[in-house]
Amino acid sequence: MTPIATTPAKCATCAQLAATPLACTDCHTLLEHVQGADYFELFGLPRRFAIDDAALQRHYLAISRNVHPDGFATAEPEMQALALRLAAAVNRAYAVVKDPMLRAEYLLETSGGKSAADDKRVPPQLLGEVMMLREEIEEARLNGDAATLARIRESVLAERTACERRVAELAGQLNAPGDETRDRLRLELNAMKYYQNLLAQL
Amino acid sequence: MSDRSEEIIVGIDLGTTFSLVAYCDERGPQVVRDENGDGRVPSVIGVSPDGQLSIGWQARGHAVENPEHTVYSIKRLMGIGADVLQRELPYLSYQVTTDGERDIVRVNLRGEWLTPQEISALILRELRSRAEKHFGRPVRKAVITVPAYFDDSQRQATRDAGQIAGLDVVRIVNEPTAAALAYGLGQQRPRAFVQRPATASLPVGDTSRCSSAATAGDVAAAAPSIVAVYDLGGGTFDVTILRLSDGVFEVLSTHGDTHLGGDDFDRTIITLVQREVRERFDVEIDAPASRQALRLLAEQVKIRLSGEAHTQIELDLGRDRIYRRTLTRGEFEQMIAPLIERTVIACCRALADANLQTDAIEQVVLVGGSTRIPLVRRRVEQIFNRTPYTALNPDEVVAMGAAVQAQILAGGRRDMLLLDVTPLSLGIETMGGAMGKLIMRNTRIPCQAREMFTTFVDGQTKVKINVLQGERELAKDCRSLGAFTLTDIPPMPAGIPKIEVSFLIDANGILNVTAREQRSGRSAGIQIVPAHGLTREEVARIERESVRFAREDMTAHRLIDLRNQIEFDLHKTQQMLDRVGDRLPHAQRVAIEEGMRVLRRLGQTSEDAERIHQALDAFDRQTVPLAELAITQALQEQK
Repeated sequence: MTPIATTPAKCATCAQLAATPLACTDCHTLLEHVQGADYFELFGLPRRFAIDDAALQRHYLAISRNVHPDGFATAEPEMQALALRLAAAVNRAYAVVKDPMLRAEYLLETSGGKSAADDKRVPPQLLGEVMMLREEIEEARLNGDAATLARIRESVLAERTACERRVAELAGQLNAPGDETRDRLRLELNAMKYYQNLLAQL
Repeated sequence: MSDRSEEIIVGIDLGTTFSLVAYCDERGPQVVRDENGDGRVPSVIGVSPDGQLSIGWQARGHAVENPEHTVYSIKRLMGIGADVLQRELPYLSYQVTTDGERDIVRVNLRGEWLTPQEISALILRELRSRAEKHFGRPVRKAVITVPAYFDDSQRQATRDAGQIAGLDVVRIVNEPTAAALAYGLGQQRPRAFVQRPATASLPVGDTSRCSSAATAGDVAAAAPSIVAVYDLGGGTFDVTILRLSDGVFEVLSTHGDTHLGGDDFDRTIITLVQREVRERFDVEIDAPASRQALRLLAEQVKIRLSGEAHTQIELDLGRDRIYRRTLTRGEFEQMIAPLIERTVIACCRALADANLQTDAIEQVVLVGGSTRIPLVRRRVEQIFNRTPYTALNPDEVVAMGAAVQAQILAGGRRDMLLLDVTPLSLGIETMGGAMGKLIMRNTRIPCQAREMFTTFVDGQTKVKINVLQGERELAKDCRSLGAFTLTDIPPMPAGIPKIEVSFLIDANGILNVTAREQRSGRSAGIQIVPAHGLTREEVARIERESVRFAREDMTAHRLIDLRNQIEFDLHKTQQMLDRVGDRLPHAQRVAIEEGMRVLRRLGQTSEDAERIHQALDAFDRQTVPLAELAITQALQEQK
């Protein structure tokens, strides 16, 4: 990930205090400094699962106005390239913070939790359940049974909603001491992928 | 002698049927028109038996007598391969083939096998020269629009066409998004698409050409912030959902079909007539001239049926055989209904991808000539449960939007911003021929994904990656963008090199790939052979060679360009001399004045483009000290 400067800093070109991270709003110079990128800080949001959607949107648009490559079409090639990289990084950060599941995943991984690649476990009954559903889907497909497919879809949607609720609840408690919350969240997020895959098939 | 701030950037709608060029001035976006007030240039190229090149209305006028060497709908062949071409072939009266080894389409134009990029370049050149005539000076930069659902190959092909036409394509913009831009700024009071009235306060465009009765009042009342743009053109269909706030145009999702449009509606009529003629007279209509004639007839029939309930079709087949029939609007609607249903499905998918229900859509905008068809309007109204909005001319609105984007890029409008998405998922072929997605469709652009690659054999120095676009699970069902070969990998045991490849989709929706070997820290080389496109070298070569068979034509164009450039340079230099000339050493000033005289004379007398070009270059170098003085002066004045 491209390093993101998160705190407003003095612009080297016009020495004004930049009003938004990443770019000086006075002279439209892009600021490339500081490592370490915290997505929440970038959008001026507290680092927690529950977010203020309107504030996120507001900050995203404000930053985009200042870093989007359209504002640098007549600038030097290096500046254009920097705008491109920064805008891509901002879009990525926005997508992650906006989507509840990606947000939970991000909070988990940046608070010391394991990544999906490091811990592939899922809740105990899930695999059997998914296998059964796959068979049912296959069979309904073969028989052209649209009603059954619709019913399966409904039930998977319900499962996913329940899973989303558990994720939200756990992600809201990441400050709790010990690894238990993080481990449970990992399992639920892994389970979510199975539901998504099933829905993609339906 | 380039003065960036004064450089014109035009907006170009390179359409399947018609193309237009527009620009922005203090009144708002303006379409460049011909002497009849028409902004449209038919996207048709013809070469007569004696080798004369014609473009636009003239080429279209000779289509029937010159069927095999009149090229139309070239946009449908941009950036495609043999697979898609197969579906188009039955309806083309000109000869088309694909390269043997590389899957590149070529069209025969009087013995020259040209790529669709080169043919499109001829149209772009015509638009460019139209704009140059209008401005009286060279035009070198353009924003060109493409269907939102165009994939990477089709976008690259469009950009390459621009380069071949001598244009620096500063941005590729999606057509529906361009239309939204044009609307956002194109209203007097209502600001249909901007929440806070204060933001889009530029006075605006010419609404006298409005094609429909939608009144300003209607729009003001709605003050929408979520808009659907339904764009059905001559050859392509897009639906785009946008959120508009404070001058920011945020695309939430887009869907479409790059081979669905007015041409396909014509084809239903063509197929009907062919079948009935076969049944009644046992005659096949498949000679190139007949195909071309039938195509034009079908187009007229379609257009008539938008205004009338029924129309006559009459076809003289020779030897007293006359095919006659009445076609009702109802029959026609039945024929095209399945095609329109495909657009309905795309609308539903776009809504789903935007995570919205239909009732969230506050305004629906119709773009593209095919939205004049009553059935299209009815269906759109049904899907979105809204009366579609059509205040601007659907043929012109995209070019106007391109002009607005050009103005944004030129730095003229910091109050507006366009945030678009990539229409198709991007990925790589993984082990076992699966499509491994790296960037999902409808991701906001610019966006970037990184992936690590390594070697499988000791000492391996190259790794091949198949880059794909599409939504299907298997690589073979997706479109390959080409073979990307990582080169110059330091020889190491298998699995040791770590090559990080970055896939960056820029604001044009075009992929940029870079690679870095992490252990050596060196950036790895990357060779790209596009699946259906030209390599950078090929584009550059074609641009250099220009188009051979139309050389004279090109020379004439080039002379106009060069003479315009002379005018421009002389004017600028005189301005600078007036301002700061007294601070230049006397000898230098005299030399520049002499240089100006020589250049002026050369422009008036010489027909030798190369010589003028060299003289311009020399003059450019000669005036560097003067230009530097002028810039310093300007900076001081600013302080």
